[in-house]
Amino acid sequence: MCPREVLDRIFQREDLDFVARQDSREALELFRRERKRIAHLWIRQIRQEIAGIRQVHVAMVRESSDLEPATELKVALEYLLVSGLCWLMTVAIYFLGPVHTRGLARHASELAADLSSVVGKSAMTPQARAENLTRGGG
Amino acid sequence: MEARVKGVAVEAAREDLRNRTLAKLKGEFARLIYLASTRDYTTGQYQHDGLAKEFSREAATAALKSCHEEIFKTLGKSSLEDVVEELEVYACANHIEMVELIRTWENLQPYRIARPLECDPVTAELFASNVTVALTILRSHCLREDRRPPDA
Repeated sequence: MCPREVLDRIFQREDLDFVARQDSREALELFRRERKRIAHLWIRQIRQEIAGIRQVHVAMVRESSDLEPATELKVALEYLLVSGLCWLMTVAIYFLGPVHTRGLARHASELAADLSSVVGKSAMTPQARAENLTRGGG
Repeated sequence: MEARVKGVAVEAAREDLRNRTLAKLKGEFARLIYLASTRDYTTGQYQHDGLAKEFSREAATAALKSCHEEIFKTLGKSSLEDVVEELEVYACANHIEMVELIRTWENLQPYRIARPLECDPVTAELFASNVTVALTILRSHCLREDRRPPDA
């Protein structure tokens, strides 16, 4: 996944303000176009990641005999939420630009990381899960 | 035990590379271009005879790769203002006319192949995009300088 500092850089205002101060219409237009493109790339990356996580999870569930309904519900909800946020961001970026979707991007990134961690934990054997808990892994 | 010894050798090679070579280069772009140039573009392997002689080929390769990734990470998350400044430092330190640097970099886009082989694709795209915008900004600065009357 793309590092947090890079994510902040894509969506923060600082660079836009800097280009606006340069008094170059060409640079400002190029910057706006480029940041939109990068933001869409990031959304595509998040979508691919959660699709991968979902595939792994579905494969795991098919072979599992002891499903935990609470975990399954959490995975399903988070997957739907991240997918929804990605869709919302695509529309918002088109109309408003990346700067105005920073909060949504952070939220989607945190949810995707949480989804990956929940699926990772549920993939562990009961013994590994117990060991992880005693190590303080949550 | 063997892994630990290797780790120590890589760390020593990194320190040597930082202190004896990279410290002498002015600016992050110069360091990035230098490190990228030590890589064979067909195999992706880093080569540095001096470093390999001092440590081992394996340690030298790992040190070059790690420093390359570190510098790219720094530049990848830099603000656009910093990228513009870094390009000015690069042109100045290498005694290249800014107009010439802009023309060459806009045409050949060498910064696209200066990235490490293994890096996050969004970070790589953001870096290339920032350099493209920075070059456009610098071009507008040059044009403004040209239009300024000589006595201003």
